[in-house]
Amino acid sequence: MSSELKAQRAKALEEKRKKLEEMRARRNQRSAGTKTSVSAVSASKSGNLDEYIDGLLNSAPPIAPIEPVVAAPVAPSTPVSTAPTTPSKKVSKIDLMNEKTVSFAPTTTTTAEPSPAVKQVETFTISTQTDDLDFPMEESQHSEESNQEIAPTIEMSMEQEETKDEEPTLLSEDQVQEKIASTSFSNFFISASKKVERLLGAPLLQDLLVDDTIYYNDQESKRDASTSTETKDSFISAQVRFSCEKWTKERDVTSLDWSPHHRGEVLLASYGSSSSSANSTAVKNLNHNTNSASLSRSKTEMTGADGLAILWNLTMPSRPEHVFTCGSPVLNAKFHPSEGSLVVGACYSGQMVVWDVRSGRLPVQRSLWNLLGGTSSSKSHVHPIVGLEGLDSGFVSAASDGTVNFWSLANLMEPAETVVVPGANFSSLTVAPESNTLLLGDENGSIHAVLPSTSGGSRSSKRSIVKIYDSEKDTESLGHYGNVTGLATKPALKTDKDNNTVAISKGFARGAHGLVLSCGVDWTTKLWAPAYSEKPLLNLLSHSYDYMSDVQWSPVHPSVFATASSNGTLGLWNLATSLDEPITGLQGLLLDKNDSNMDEPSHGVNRIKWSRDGRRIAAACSDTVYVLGMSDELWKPKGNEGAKVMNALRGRGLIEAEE
Amino acid sequence: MATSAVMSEVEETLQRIKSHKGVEGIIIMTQEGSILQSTLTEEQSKQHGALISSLTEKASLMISTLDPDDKLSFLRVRSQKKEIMIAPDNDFLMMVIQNPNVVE
Repeated sequence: MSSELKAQRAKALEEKRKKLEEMRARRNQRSAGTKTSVSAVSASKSGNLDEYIDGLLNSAPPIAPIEPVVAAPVAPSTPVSTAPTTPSKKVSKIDLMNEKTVSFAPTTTTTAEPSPAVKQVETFTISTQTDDLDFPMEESQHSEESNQEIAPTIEMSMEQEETKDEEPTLLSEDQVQEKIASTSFSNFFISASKKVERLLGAPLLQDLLVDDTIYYNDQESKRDASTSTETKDSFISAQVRFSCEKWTKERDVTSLDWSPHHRGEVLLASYGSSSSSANSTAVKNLNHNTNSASLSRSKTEMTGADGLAILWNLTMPSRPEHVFTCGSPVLNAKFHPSEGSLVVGACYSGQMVVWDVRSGRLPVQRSLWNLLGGTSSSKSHVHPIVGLEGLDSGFVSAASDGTVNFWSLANLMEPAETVVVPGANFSSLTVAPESNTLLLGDENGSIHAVLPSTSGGSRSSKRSIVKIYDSEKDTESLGHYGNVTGLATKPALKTDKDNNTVAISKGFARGAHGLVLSCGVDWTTKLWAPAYSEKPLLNLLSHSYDYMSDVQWSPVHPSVFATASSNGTLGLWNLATSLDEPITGLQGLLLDKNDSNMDEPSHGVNRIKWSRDGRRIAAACSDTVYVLGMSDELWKPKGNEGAKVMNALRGRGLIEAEE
Repeated sequence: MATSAVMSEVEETLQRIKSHKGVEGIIIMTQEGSILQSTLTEEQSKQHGALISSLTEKASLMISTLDPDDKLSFLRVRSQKKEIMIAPDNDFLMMVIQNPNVVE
């Protein structure tokens, strides 16, 4: 009987072996033909069952030991018990080896067509049963081993499936704490909440971007929450307040810049160190004197980090998109003109720093800084950098000790060129884009011009320095009496090529485009035409009998500019309309309202900056940045305003008529 | 100490998100489906959580199937009454339900 049985088994095994060889051959063919067998396996429905089995056998290691142990007697009870379990194990093992199948298998089997899965299992069990009958101890050990390997993963996948089907669990307080404390959670949380807040804030962006004054006029009553007040604000279509108490509290904004890269959605603000005084002075260059007297430490989490620059996204008024810090108060910050992720900052210490949004809060680079070194060894600034402007080739910075450094974008570690104006104490800086002439305001009220080298652009030749207005020598006292806090030139003309280039004399463009504005602590804003005259043309004194802190031309409208006063008001002027009065009226626009008294300002305006398209203006009041949407009157020029202004000035005899 | 700082940061942010117009609820959960934070009731959270995690899984599968190098980063579902924003990550998932039709 036993010999009969043996013979039977041998026969069955022989058949089996043949079958296996056949299958292997076919499998080899297939794997050679299609490397991406994954999709083939998963896509195989009942029709490709053979292939599927091939796949299974392919990766099931126990096949090999079958042959040497043909005649080994096995207790008949063992295969019965192992048989039903092995197939499922093998399936999962295959799944393990083929990650893609894992992801595919559950979806296809559970949702759409459950039939293939069932069939597969059935066929497999039947065909392997004969195998398993003769499996010796060796094999069972083998499967045990693989059992152990597979076991945990099965459990895991089982768990996953269970949780998927079940309702989500509420974790215990400890578990929640543990999860939340993990770094992966905080990374996730920062990015996820930012995404969500960015979307939730989208209507805000719409308010600021979509300008429709008529709409706002009609719905004035509805919108009184966001727009400030009555009729005088008809120039302003929307107003949004940006501050984050945790970071910006009691830190005066020192500079503003709009991103050239993000369609005007991102705003950069730099902050000085915190001051305890409730009413900080608005004038940028004076407010640092209060620091030494200030004993209170900043309540923020920063220790020793005094410099702060924040990237604001217009959609998130209470959440800074990025926070940058450094050791010294940041007086100026600008976007890198070509690298969207870089921000360049100029510090009170004289250091230039570069931040990268990809690498965290601290600067990725600092300029070489040598306190002890004389001017010969280290050309970097050792005094507060009061001005930072972009040039075609890089940046130019001015420090309060009268040095001007030119930086190339390739190397912000060391200045490429240094110009020293003896005896000067700069307080402000601007660049005339046509000629790259620098205009520098002095703390004593003088204005200097640094003309670019004329000899064919060779860098070696000296730049010439001209004193446009000297407050000490000029007895007629037409210029500023004191600190020149702001200087403004018009942005580069977007002239097409065939248009003749702007005529330049004395380093400045002729015509309306060469008009320059300055403002100072003597309460005045002055209009200059340095191409024609070294005296100010107009002396504008309105909306503020207080220090003027900033002045800016509109980047798109030839006759519109804005002034900021430390009495908390903003003035908008259109020289084509009036050479004497701001269009916003004699009172100016009150930005930062005192909570107790609505007519009293709580803070002066430190800095203003038009967005690149001229449709918005960012204004900083102490530690808060306001972004104002402008009505189209202020950014839609009719076309002849520039000529109109020049005619008006000629009409007054302020500049001689063109030959 | 660090935990409490993170916790307060989390709560602060949730509060800020919640203060947006029309926001009805926020849920933060793990990819396995355990809820970490929720501003909804327990029942609502469980219901939303179960549905959202299966939806996110499908969406993420779709993206990775179309392009194995790609990854789902955000999911916005707009219905007549609601807008659901889902920000998934490797291990976690944030969901915000907003009623965009709310007038101030």
